[in-house]
Amino acid sequence: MCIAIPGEVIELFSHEARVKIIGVETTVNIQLIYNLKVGEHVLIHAGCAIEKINKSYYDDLLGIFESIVDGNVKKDE
Amino acid sequence: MNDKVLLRHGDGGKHTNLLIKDIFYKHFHNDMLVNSQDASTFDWNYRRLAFTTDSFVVKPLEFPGGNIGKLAVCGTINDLVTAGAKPLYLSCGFIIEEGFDMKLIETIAESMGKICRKTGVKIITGDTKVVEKGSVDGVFINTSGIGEVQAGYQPKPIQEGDQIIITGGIAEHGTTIAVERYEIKVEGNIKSDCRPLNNIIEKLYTYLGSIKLMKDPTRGGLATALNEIVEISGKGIQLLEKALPISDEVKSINELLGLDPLYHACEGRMIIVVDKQKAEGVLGEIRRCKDCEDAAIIGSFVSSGPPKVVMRTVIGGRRIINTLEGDMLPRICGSVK
Amino acid sequence: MNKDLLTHLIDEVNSMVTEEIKIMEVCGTHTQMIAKLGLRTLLSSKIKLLSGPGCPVCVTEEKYIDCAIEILNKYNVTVTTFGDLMRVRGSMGSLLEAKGNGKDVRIIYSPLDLIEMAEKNRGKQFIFLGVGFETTAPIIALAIKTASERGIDNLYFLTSIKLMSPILHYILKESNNQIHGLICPGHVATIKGSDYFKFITKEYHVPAAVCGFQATDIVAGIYYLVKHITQNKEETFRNLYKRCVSPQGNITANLLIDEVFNISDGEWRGIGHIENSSLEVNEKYARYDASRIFVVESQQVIVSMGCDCKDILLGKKTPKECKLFMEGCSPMNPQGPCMVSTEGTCAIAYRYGEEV
Repeated sequence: MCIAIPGEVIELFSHEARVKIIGVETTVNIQLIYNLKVGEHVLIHAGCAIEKINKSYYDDLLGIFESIVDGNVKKDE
Repeated sequence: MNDKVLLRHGDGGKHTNLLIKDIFYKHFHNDMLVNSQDASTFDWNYRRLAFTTDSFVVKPLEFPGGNIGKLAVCGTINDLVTAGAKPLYLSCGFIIEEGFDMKLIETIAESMGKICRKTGVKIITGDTKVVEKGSVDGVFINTSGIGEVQAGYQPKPIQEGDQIIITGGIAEHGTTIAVERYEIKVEGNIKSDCRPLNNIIEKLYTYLGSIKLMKDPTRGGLATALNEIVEISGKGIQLLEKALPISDEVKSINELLGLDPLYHACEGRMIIVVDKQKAEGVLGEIRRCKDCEDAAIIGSFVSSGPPKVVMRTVIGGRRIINTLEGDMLPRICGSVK
Repeated sequence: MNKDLLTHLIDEVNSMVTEEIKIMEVCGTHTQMIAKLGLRTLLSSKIKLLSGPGCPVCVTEEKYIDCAIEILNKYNVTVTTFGDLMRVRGSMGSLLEAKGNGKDVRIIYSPLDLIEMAEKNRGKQFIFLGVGFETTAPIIALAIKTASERGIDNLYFLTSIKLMSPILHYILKESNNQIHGLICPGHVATIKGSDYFKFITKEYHVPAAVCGFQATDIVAGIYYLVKHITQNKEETFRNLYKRCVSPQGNITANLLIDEVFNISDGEWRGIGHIENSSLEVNEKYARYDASRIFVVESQQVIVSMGCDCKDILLGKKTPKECKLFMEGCSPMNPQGPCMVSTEGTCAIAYRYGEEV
């Protein structure tokens, strides 16, 4: 459940923000987010930003995998 | 001219004639139409004919990239194209609700006229009725079309290895309609792909001998059209997800709404099934046509396994693609359709 | 997304498995992504991915739909809803059918759109069918609070908000160790925090991972769980969706939920009565609670006789073992969530005729 997609904040208003998703722009409510800044990324569900996305953790995750894969390849050699 | 269509505009007499002359004849103008006969006549040279009909009752009536009139003319032209035919003549019937905005009728007629002039197809006969408020929802249009089959084209039995080409990006029309219908506030380069496809077929006349089947994936989208082909042919399809041309805008909007691009109508795309040997040649020709740069080979036919549409996903898995059952509705939950 | 990386990971997962492993997810979007990726066709047949009751619409009791239709029949109102709910059938049919019968039912994308809709149409009364889990709850709460702040008097909410934690407790208690690992719903966790799901491991000793929804996230979760299950490490809980999920979750959202809702008991379609598993509008916002304002005859709670969704969800039974499968229960006329959800175990079995 809970289809939610990421978007980048490009403009801020009092209760809303304009966000850019790949190829399109839309306006979402930001009253559930504290201290949002332009350039940050948010997760969008039913017209509302429900949380900020911390992109550094995504790279973190990929890094973990790559090391798992590399580690196993090394084991096989 | 009044600003609203009134019941008397359907009286069959003076007021109907005014409506026809001031709007329909003005935009559909051609030598065969303005003779004001009940039936139009033309000479024939006994080549094989294609004949089709369709009715258009869609909402919204206007959308980015077109309106119900453009949809009607292109839809009928494209049906003729799938038969390998050069579209020649159309009929056009309007059923209009009393009180309908006259300017919108003019806009619709103007779009239809534009497509006719662009393609050389002529609307040579028609009918206009005005009905009481509530009897129809706005306006309904029926178009029938006649075309001349080229190069003796006939659909042929599909064989294992036959390739499937789509002439451009999918789901653009359906996505545009969904944005309008559910009043989603998105901005981007999203508009209907509604267009006539006779220019493509003209480029492919020399290949018609190797083309097995053509189909336009309208209602129900690519998925439904491919399932229909599977049913006719008795052979299964292997589809490649990463080969499907889908624009970023279409992807994003459908993710927002929880919809699947595979099931959205396309109104300006053609599925072409072609012999493996000629597939690249056909693709090359199509790509040279305007707005067809994203044409791609998206799959092929197989004879092993049950006759289904199976897609190889972006991660190399397999999933079965079924026909659409009922309209797609936007949702917040991933697992309800 | 690196396909080679994913292929490597999946190969790793398959090489670790010796005995049958059952991993459950409880989120309709996870269910759908797994199906969309064709993940089951890549994983070893020893890994069984179970689809739990993670779709709020699929577990909405018939009584709720009946109530909405009764309100439409009795009062002159406009009912607005997420698209998901349109085709779900109660005992009197679905909202889509009601719309076909001339009732004013509209699909909306966000409940916040209703504020403007209600303001612009003062002559109409709007009811929103607020269905969802913890992810959607704060948005519904925000809509209710905003309506209150702006003094909007023609907007009401009929809620059926369900909570993940109680149903998970129920499933894990009933499971008889049939569930070896749990993929936790990433967007519920975004709101409630990863700590919300730690009990799965602490109390039931089942490895669990909070996962996102991209291919990498789901494969990562399965890799993590399979690794720890096969190494017999029970006390393993990991948040693999740190880019959106913090331990405490979204505090603002949770404060809003507490401000507008109370916890109450809930009825889960095909499962039954689960204590403290639902949110209802509290006294402070009672004037927005459609169930208090638009009174209809009290609906009987229908418990489908013979529906085995409870056991099917847990992987204890297959669809074919359910008395109602294809005999009174089909995608056109579904009884429990396993059939309502197009990716539910029963719906899939019905469509493809396979044993799942």
